[in-house]
Amino acid sequence: MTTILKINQLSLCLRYAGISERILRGINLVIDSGEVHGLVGESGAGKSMLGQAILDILPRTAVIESGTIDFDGQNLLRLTPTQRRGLLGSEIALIPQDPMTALNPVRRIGQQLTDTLGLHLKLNRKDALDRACELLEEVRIKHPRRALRQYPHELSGGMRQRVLIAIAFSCKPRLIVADESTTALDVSVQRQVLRLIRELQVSSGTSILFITHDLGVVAKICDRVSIIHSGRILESGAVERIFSMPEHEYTRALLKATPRYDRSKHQFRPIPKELTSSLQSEAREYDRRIRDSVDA
Amino acid sequence: MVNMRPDPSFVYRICHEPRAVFGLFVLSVLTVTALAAPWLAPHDPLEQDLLYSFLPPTWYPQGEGGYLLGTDNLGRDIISRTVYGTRIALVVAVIAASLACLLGTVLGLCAGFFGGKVDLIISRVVDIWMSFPAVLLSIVLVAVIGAGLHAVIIAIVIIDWTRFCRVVRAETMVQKELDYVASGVTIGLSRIQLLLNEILPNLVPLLIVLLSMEMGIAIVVETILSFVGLSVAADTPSWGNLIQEGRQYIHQVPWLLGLPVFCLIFSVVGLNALGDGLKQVIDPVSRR
Repeated sequence: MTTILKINQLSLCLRYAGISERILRGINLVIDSGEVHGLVGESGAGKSMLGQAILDILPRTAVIESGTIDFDGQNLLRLTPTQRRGLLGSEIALIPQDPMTALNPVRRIGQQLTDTLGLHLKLNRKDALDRACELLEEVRIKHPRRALRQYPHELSGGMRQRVLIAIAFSCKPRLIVADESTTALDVSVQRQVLRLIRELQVSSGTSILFITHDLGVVAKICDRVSIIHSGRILESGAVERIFSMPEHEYTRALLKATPRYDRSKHQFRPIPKELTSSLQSEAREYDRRIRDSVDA
Repeated sequence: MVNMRPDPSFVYRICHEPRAVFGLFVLSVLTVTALAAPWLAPHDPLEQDLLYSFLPPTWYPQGEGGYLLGTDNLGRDIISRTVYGTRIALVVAVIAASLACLLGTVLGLCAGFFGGKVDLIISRVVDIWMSFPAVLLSIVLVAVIGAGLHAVIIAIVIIDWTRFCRVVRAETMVQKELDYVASGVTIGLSRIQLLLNEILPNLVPLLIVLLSMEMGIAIVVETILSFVGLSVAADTPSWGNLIQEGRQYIHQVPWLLGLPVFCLIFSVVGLNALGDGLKQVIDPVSRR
């Protein structure tokens, strides 16, 4: 199995008004081709920031301090903006979090679907529309011809998310970053959408970095999973292994904190405060080491 | 909600928006009047007949049948002059407003999208520009360029691009932070493509409102400049010239002012309604 994405010692901080706050602390992550890799962590763990770093949509205040993001053997951080733009949409794509806002409200679905097709596959307008229609069929949108002529507000949230999935898969990219892609959907739609993503992923052989805070979602869709906290990867491994034999204390706490219908609520334990604060102090310790090594 | 009804056609939606209907009516009246002026006007607008000067409207006892709304100091037909005045009003409205819109939109998009130094420079220029009193500035400009219709148009463009620039800049700044622009980045669109494909379409409803309001303003400004004698030559029929002449005899023959003032109000109100109505029809967001 070949490696499609290899992140090595990636550190990133946010700088504003002279204050600098480290968000990612020496991240190492490997995604093989054809695998769905879950990235699980609580709010503020840095999981979305990692996705944004891969996609080059970091906020302006973010500064990458060190490390590499190797995609297919080339370091993305070394590429020129034009080279990176060439990869985005064609080789690396995004399934965004919120289907309500991620589509342009004043452009028809057809126009938005054909953007990538025209840009990367150089299809002409008619071929692009035909292809867009096929794509909508693949994501199970009924009446795809009509949907092409509709505006985003005329579609339901689930349908919009399907359109976004169609856009992400449109150029058969080799890596898709799914940033909380099912969080904004209700549970039943979430199931359908997850199944759809998995099907498309299997048939196209695309790798997916699936960012989520929901371990239930990870169990459904992921092959391997990495647990992130305070900008550090605590543990990586196959999903079955992580779920059955978690090595890190935080992973165990996280699994216990997941509500499950087959367990009584007495077995449900929130993550202990001491654990969170010890992880945070480890993060501070990391920052101190970096500072010392820079000073020395 | 999933809208199961097919998208109603554009024409259908316009017909169900009273403001748009009224606005289109006003605009078509103005256009037809301007184009068909030679056939609509009962007399030559420049033809003088001193025997028939200051004729009152035809329903007054001293009125003449051939001059429906009376004549001015030189015996020229009021209706004919107003009809020909429409040409000047419309030309100024369309050309000046479009050019001001173009200039202001381009600069506003750049300022809002690129930010930083570009924004700083453009915004400061706009601030300085807007601190001048508009009418005074236009009079000075026309005085420098030289009187005439082209000077009026240039003056309006130079003064009023700031209106577009400010609003477009602010809206661009709002739009570019929205998720769909970030999505655009992730499918590999360049900055220019983001600006033109993603952000500009979101500004169209706004631009239509601004443009039609600006057309109204341009008509008023042309009238003001005609009024102070800095637009077209004094004998050329324009609404401003007519109002200016009417003002001199307002105590003796108040009806001279009536028609041109009505036309002015009619067109400005109509154009504003057109802007509001079209915004409703075009904007898929405010359309439900």
